[in-house]
This record gives sequence, C-alpha cells and structure tokens, in this order.
Amino acid sequence: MHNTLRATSLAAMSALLFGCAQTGTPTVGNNVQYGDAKAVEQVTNEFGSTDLQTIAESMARSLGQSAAGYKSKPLVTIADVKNKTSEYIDTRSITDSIRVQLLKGGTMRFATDIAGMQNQTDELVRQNNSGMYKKSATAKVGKMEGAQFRIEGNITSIVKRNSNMTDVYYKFSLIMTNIESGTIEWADEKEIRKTSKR
Amino acid sequence: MKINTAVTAGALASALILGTLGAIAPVQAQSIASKIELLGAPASLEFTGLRMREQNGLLNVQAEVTNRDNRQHAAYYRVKWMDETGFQVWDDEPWKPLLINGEQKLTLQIVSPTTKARDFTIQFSAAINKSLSTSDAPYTGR
Repeated sequence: MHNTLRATSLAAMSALLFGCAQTGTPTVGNNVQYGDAKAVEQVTNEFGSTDLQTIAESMARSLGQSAAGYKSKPLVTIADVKNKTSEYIDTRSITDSIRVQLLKGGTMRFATDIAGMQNQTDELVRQNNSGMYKKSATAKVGKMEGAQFRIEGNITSIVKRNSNMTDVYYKFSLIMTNIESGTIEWADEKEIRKTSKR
Repeated sequence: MKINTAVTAGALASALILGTLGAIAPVQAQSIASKIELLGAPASLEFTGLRMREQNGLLNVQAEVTNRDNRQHAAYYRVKWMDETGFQVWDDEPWKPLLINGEQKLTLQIVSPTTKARDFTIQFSAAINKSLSTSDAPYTGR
C-alpha cells in the first residue's frame, strides 16, 4: 500500500516538475500555443500587430524606393512620430521596424538619433577620457557624421460608433526633410480602416 | 480560380521588354501562374493582370485582382522575394488583408524591399473558397 502511494506521488511530482512533454517534440507542457507572428490579427479593433507591420512595411518600401534614386545612400535620422490618437500606441516600435527594414534592404544609412545620443557620447567619453584604452584603438571624438535628412510624422485616428458597429480609421503620415535646406524631400501616408460589430 | 494566362503573359512580357531587361530576364519565360501561390481555391477572386518593371534596382510589381461576384470579398496576401537562383532574400512578410468590392478590379502596388530581389511569388489566400465555406486563411481571432 505504502509503495503504491509512493509511486503515485512520485509520478505526480515528476509531472509537475517536468510537465507533460509529448514524445518526439521538444516541448514542456501544452497549455500554451505559439502562433504565426505574421498572421492578420483580428482579435479586437484596437491598434494591433498587423497595423504596426503593415504601416512599417508600407513606409519602409516607399522610403526605400525614394532612397534608391539617390547617387549615394542617404544618411538619415529618425525623430518622433507623434501619436494623436486616443489609444496608447508605441510609435517608437513602428519607427524601429521601419529602420530595421531600410537597413536590411541596404537603401539608407542611419545616424544616431536623439534617443541614442546619450549612449553614443558616453561611449566616446569613456574611450577617450578614461585613460584605459590604447590611443591607436579608440574611436576618435569629432568624427561623427551628421544626418542629411530627418524623418518624422504623425499617427491620427477617427473613431465612429453606432449601436451596431464601430469604425476605426488610422492615418500614418511620414515626411523626410533635408536638414540643411529645410525642404521636404519625401512624404507618404498609409491609411487603415477597421470595422467591428458590437 | 483561373489565371488569365493568355492576356497577362503578354502584358508581363511586354512590361519586361519595356523595363530594364538585364536583371529581370530570368523570369521572362515563366508563366504568370507560376508567380501566384494560392492557398485554397478562391470562389470569386481571380488574378487578371500582372506587370513588373525595375526602377533603380528595385522591382515594381502591379497585380490586378478581380472580384467576379457582386458582393465584397476579403483576402490576404504577401510576397516572397527571391534572387535569380530562387534563393529567398527577404524574411517572410506579414500577411496583408484586402477587401475587394463586388465586381471590382483592385491593383496591388508592390515594391521589392531590396535590390537583391530579382524574382517574386505572391502568396494569396481568399476568405471564401470554392470547396469550403471559409479558407484556412492566415488570421488570428474573429
């Protein structure tokens, strides 16, 4: 009786500790399901992953097409995208995705933006002023390249509701300004409409 | 779903001839059907045109989708970008939703993300297919 009880509690303990791994698959537990990060998300009508991905892709392709016309890769910096919607939207995440796609596509170069400037200067100061580095192997002060262009924009939304449905319209606008001349060299926008039944 | 090969093949060939020939030549002999990868058999959506040209090293693609029904239909698409050897040169794109009105011809405007892309395949999934009421469409939720 005691042996049976001990065996049962041991089995229960090991199931708790190691989960119920399926044979042949390197998994632990089966309460969680991984999904397709690229799938069209239609869970709610709030700003979602598909909106972020669609906007970033559309803007990056348009910017890339514009940049491909320049003789040498334009050096740009990304300023803020203002969120003028009533929702919380991490616009930094959108501009990060745009930058990733343009860098991977090889059509633009990016200068350190305002958000990354503190880390950049800290590292330069550390290398040049700490006295711990070989002079020949330090990144020199005064060699940073200033961006030729600045990218910035807005995201706005219009939300309408009636007793049956909610309609959400997003407009993401981006412009690229020549920093020296102040002229706007490129602009584009992406619109998204989502409706949901109440 | 039919691919209007006779009409579109001519259009693609002439677009290719008018475009920058050098880099695009490998895909010239291919049929338009080979550029579309269907996930299911769309009930009323049909690719009726496909054009491609090169501009500053990037591929510009225009794909015309026609809705043969008089009701709105939803679909999802994305593009796979390959080099001249068929090697995929860009990560899987996010699926993009489409809504096509009854009897509408919708032109998809697509630009390649990198100059390494020399060829493409459009993956297409309609919400309503011939055999089933709904497809195995790539969406989350609903």
